[in-house]
Amino acid sequence: MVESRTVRLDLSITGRMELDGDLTLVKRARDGDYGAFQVLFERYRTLAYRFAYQMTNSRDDAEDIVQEAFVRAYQNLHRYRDEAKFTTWVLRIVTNLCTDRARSSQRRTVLEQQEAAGALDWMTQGTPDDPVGNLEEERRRSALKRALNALPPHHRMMIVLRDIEEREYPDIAAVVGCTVGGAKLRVLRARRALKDRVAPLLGDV
Amino acid sequence: MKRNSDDHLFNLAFGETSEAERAELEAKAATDPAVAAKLRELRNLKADLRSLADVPPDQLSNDRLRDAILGQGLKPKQAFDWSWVWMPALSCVLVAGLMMGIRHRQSVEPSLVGSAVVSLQTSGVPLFSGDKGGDLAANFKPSESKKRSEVQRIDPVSFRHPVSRKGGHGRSWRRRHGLSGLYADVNLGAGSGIDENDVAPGGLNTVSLPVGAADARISGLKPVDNTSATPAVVVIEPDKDKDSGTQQAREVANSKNVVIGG
Repeated sequence: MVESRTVRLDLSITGRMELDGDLTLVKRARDGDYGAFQVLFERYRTLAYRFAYQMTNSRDDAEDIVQEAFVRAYQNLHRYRDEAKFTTWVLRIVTNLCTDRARSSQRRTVLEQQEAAGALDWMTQGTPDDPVGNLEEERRRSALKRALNALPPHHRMMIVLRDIEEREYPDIAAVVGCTVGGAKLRVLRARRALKDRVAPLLGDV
Repeated sequence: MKRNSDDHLFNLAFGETSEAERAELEAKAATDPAVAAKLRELRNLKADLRSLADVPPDQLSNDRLRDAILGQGLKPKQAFDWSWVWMPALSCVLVAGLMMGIRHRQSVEPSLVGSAVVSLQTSGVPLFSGDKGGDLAANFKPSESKKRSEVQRIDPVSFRHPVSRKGGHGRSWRRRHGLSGLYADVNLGAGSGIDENDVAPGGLNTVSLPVGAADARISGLKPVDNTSATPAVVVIEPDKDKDSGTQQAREVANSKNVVIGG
């Protein structure tokens, strides 16, 4: 009990130091120190990229989104409120960009999904009794990915944030812009939606 | 009900239940194969989702970002710059303050500071023929500002600032005669014991007494004997006693050397 408390305390201190560090860097960047912004980019680009990739399922798109997100962050540093985490702020920008892109390329996504589905059908139909153990795992992963990509962006976002990137509910709430309770509810709905979509693909009725 | 149960299973599979709830649901799953199968399914889903965490490495670079940002000549936008506003705003405030100060100074009522009850007598004023004389009392309360309405109720003495006087001598005249400052107008008309006939030609029925500066302390001024030959109207200024340092009134002028109503 004591140990867990100590660990929690240490984490909070680390988080605080991190926050302070980000704050200092943001202030320096605001004053025109581009090097400070580069440090922020180096620190959080992977986090942003992972999220963007899970949302777009495309490396090129994810990179474009992350770059655009940091460009916007740089231009709008004056809007960054110091009480929020920089990561939350950047993730929020990435989220908005992903949502915009998903809306604008709805049709393209559908076509890609159809193509992917065809490929998956071919793969799964061709190797139903494959003795290689990881093939089933691969099939499940592919099905899950398809189902995830087919989810509406707001559901997908919740799955990615909570179940893939394993972010805490308060962070999710800050990124999405809702309460912690609201974030929990949204995650639950997203999980339900994902299960409903993935079950037919996996043959679980 | 079924959905509620499913939600609990979701929470259990994704590790978001309390200990008590977890124990209860696991016990239920142990006895009900359908619940157990569903729970297993959901746990597989969670594990599969975690397996999606692997992403191909990115090719983002600082150079690419720098090209995107600095190459386009972008700069962090500044928060709204108020620096240009404060100077005109400050100027306006100063001007407004100055105007108000001037206006206030013109309309301000005299603040009288006194520690004694002054009794002035009009007897023996040489300018008036047939002077019957009479006591005029002006009560000065220490450190108390009086509004015009209150001051005017003090009959027959009223107070005014020299610049507010209309139709009489201006500030320059008073300055020339060493009579600048605040004045107590002693009304010699009704209630003062002087008839209309006693008023000198020209209609003047007021004598002005400079009250002095704000710190005019009229102390030690004794009532004047009616029968004495001391001029009734005296102009005093606050002064300090050289020996004791106490405040006292010094006579600056009196009705002999001040032309009243001139």
